Amino acid sequence: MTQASLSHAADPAPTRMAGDRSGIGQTAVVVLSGLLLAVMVLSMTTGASGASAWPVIAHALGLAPLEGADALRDQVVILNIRLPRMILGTLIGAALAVSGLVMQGLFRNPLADPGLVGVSSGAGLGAVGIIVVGTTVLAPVTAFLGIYALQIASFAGGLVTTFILYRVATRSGQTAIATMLLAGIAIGALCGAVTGVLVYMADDNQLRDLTFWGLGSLSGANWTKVLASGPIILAALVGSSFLSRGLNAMTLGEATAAHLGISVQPFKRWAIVLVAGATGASVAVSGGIGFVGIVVPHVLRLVIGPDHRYLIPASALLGAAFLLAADAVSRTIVAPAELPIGIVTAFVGGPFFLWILLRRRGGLAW
Amino acid sequence: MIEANGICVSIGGRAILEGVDFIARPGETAVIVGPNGSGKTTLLKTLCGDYAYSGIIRLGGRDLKALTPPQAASLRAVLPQSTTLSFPFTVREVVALGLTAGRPGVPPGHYRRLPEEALMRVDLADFAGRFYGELSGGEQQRVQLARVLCQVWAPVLEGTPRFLFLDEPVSSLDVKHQLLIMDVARRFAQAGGGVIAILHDLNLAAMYADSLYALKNGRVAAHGRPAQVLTDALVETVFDCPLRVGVVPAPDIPYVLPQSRAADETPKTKVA
Repeated sequence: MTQASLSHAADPAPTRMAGDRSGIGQTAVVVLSGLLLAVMVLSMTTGASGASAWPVIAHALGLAPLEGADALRDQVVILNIRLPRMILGTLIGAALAVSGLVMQGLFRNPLADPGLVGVSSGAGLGAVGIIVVGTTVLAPVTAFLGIYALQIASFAGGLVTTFILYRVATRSGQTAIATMLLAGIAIGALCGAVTGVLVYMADDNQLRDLTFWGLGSLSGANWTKVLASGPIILAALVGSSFLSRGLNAMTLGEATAAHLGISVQPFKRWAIVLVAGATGASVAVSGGIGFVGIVVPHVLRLVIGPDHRYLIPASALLGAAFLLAADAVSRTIVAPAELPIGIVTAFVGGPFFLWILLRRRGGLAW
Repeated sequence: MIEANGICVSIGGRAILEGVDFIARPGETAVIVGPNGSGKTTLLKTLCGDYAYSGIIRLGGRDLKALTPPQAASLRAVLPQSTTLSFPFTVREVVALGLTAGRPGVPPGHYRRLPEEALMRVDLADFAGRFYGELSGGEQQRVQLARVLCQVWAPVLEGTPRFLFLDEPVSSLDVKHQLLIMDVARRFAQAGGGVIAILHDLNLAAMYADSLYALKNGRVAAHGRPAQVLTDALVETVFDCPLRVGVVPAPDIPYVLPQSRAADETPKTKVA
């Protein structure tokens, strides 16, 4: 049947076909790239100090010399405070959105998020452990890891949690997603309890650190943190871009994904490691920042559809732009003080998410 | 060719298949029938490689256990009994997922309109732009068949026949679309591919099967051509209920009429 029916001429110039949203996806990626660039510029040019970025940029490009004490101060502010903060904000925003997206695809549930399956809790426990007992019980670990202690402990916490989760939910080489979700909730609760004990043990200074870390903030961004977390997040983001085919197939269920040619078990293992890496490295720097991982993929799915070939880059771009914009607000709204970024994302994300859910209540519950 | 010898499958410590021998040849439609719980779906899923088994299964002359998922996906496509989607795909996007494994056998430049052609074959030409979740169960099943057709578009790939595995493909369809779908399967076989289908409708099985397997309690109770398998004694034994087999004079296709047990008191009507 087929050879005969296929004998007519090949497709002429590609035209938009009904139900084909790939054009919208490609457009979204281009538009969001522009948006991210604009927000990056905004992030570099706004701040509590009033430092002007343009002379520094012109100097860096060799277009104009830098003159005067103020200009030199601005250079320090721009290069050592705003630039690392902008880079970390971009990477963490992208990591949070893509981690949420991959978890949702893997669990076939639009509400899944590293926060839900205990990965964030595990990463948080690692970080809290270093903050509270890093100078006492864990002193040898802190001394060995040096300035990277928080990042590595958080990453390790995320990985260990994911590993336990995976072992609990896997039987005879098959990972049961429902079991994994339930186990994740239990592990998250356990990590939360241990974290609670550590918080109970903390002194006043540690409590203040914990509170600000827990609300999420990019305020401590510096080049050391960029070097500690950046490569892990970058590697996880690049790795995630190879998951689109598998995540698309997984929306039909694991068995059908296998029938479509996906090696399901290795695929799941890789996806989980990438999520643990991105989440752990992000949580170490910025603490818990909510809503990015759920809101960004959800909004994009409404606009461009659920094709992960476009959702993954679009989520990375919008997540980065959203977090940078939220960070710009958090830095300037109560200047010279600073609002933790988690408060801004929750204030924007919470009502927005509710609005989407209410608006779509009569339609499909995606 | 798909060849299975001495297949045994246990799930949760319970034996589901016990020593099943099975052959599906290119150019033919092999139909599996049997009562609920007889092991039909388990047999099909085992042939897909979904379950651990003892025995030997060969797909295209190669041991199934030695095939990687992409290799197996290029040789056969599987239509499950039901499919739920977790995200809002359009019908066209669902059908295009059939190209996940690549485009072997699809002429260059042609793949972009493959979903439309596949939808046309299952009588859903105007549905490409609709959301999958808004369709009826029967329409969703036809969309899934279009996806499966995309995966094995050319029934023969570089001299190797490819297979369609269909698990109750017509269970939620009206009679017109039952015939349409079974005709799609038959044409696939006539073009050199092979079809394995599980059917509950014995008359459809009689009409479309080139070889018929009747399963009961995890064993093959009978196999052969429909006229050999569908006899009064055998269908009554396999399905454990009163059934009568008749024959349409031409083209010599058996048909099966269920008999009410409540009518046992009245004399049985002999079907000529």
